Amino acid sequence: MNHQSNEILERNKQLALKFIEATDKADGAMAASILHPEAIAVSKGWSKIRGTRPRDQMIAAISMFRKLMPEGLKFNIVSVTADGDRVAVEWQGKATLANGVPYHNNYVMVFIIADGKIKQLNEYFDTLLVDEVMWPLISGSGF
Amino acid sequence: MSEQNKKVVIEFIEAMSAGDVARATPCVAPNAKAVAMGKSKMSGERSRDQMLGTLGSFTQLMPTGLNPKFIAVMAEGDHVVAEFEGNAKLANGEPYCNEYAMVFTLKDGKITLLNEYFCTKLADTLYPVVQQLGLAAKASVS
Repeated sequence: MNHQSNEILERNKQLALKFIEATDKADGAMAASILHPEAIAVSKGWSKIRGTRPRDQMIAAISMFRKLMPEGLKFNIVSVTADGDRVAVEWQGKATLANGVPYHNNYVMVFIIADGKIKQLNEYFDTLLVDEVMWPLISGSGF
Repeated sequence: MSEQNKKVVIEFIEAMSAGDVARATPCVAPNAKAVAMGKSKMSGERSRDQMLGTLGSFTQLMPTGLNPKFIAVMAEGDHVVAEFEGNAKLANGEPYCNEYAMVFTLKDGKITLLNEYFCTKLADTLYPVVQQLGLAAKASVS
């Protein structure tokens, strides 16, 4: 692996981590600055929040994130694996929802980078926990 | 090293799909463990013996195998992440197509830790079949 590709891998990692940081801070502008114009997020599995979100929905969801988790995600990065145009980030969240209920999910987010921006994000997490703990809050408050 | 680690991980997943313990065993370090993340009935930690034991009974649950379709296999340092879709049919004839991200840690070319992420909601639909077949609750792949 040459020096240049190492630099690209490191840049890709920083993009992935910055996206998680933007989500944690509910900073839509920060997220927008690192998202490709054609960016999509794919929530894997069969939870009530499953499916593909286009860039605008990604940014809108991030912008209102602190309404859902007022103190943020309280995330802990477990591992970061960069290879080619992809970065896989494994992390834990120790959030508390706006209704006071703990929301401790475990995640793998696989980012695909193109033109120095995040073009796709595949999200894997505990879908049972989403449906049982987070969905009642989302569906009841018009998120 | 990373390319070799990828080969070990793909070999392990293919061995799992086939329920082939003899093929999986050389991929796994003596002190290995697997952790199925989340709160499904399949979630929790498994020792090396449990990993291989459930892997051996896997084709009872999915007689024609898991048939993984790899989306991506990423490697860096000691880690390999495999993103794939399963295309299985359960022993009762029902399709079972979960989506997986598996994070492997390797040392000296062998798997020491496997963190499994999948749709826990779908995984719980496996549980009645697992019980009916008398298999261990913590299947090797959920």
